[in-house]
Amino acid sequence: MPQIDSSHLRWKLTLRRAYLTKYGCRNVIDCCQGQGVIWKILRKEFDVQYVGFDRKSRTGKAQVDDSARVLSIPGHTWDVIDIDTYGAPWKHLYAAAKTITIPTTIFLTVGRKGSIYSLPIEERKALALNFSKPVPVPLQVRLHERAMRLILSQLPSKFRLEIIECSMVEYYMRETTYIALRVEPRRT
Amino acid sequence: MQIRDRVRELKRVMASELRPSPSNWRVHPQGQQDALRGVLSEIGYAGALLARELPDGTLELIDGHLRAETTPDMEVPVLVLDVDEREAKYLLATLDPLGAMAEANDEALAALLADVESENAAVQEMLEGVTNEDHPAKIVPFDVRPPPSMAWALIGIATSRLAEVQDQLDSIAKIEGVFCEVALNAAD
Repeated sequence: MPQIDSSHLRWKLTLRRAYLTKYGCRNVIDCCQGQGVIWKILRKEFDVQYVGFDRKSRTGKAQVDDSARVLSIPGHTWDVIDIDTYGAPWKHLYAAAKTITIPTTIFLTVGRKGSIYSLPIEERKALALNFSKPVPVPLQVRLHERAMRLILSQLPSKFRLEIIECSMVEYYMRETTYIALRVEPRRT
Repeated sequence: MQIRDRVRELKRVMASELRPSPSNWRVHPQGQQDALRGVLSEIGYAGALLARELPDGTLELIDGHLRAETTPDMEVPVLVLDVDEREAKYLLATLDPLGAMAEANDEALAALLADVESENAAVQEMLEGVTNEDHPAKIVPFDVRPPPSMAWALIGIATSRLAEVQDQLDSIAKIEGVFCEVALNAAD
């Protein structure tokens, strides 16, 4: 049976419904759809064009890595980019941020399992944490939230995007952070 | 305390031949019916119904009415108990409330649900409801103001002399906004 992450489905849906209702939605790219549960439900509520990428290799199905490549191609018109990864969404976010030309809502799932966390390269770079020796794990865990904030706060300067709104789901365990981000290309 | 084993036998019986208990007090809303259908279609029968044998040889249900109604044309597993009418009523009154008295270990529940797999919409909806009803999601602003940029100082000292600077390190670690972590890295 295919796998579905049902753990925080309600919270993911709550966040998405809030932003989709507020900012509207037409074209959705779902970069890590799994079995597509989230958007199977949301598509009953919102009239959208949808394309999904699976995280696992299956015959005839586009894969997650493909979605990062697709996002990096200029000229797309997705106004909703869902990056519900099981780890770090930054590769996809950076790929998308380079090519956004219209107001866009981005959903990010930033995963951290338990007390062991290894900062992904994007977070280490944002923190300027460039030691060649391994950074102590407890420090990496403590730096994770700051790294998330740094990466998002750098979007305007790195990619000429204006952050209109950014929210997260607050819940009792904070191993995974669910973020919604509304951005617009900066007018010059 | 002496505990009796009241299970007489396991039988497979056409569900439509089972007689409902006249004392059954449970009613089953549509959502529950749909979720049960989903579980049965994805997993199948993984537990037995409970019944007692009446003087005429027919089996009267104690537990499993909805399952029997859902699959009337199927041979279903039934545990036949050697209980009388009074004891059957006792079981009817206590089985479900006893199960409902269990409380959730939030962490274990979240970990379990992270691994739960279902393609069935009704099952997903049920799991969504199970997910920490006591901890509803709250959407809060995510602070994307740039935090101060980070500077890092790497201090190295012989392990045998670490104690000499421990107090100073503790003082540094107490300064707000300072990340200080001691790691004993072995040489390559």
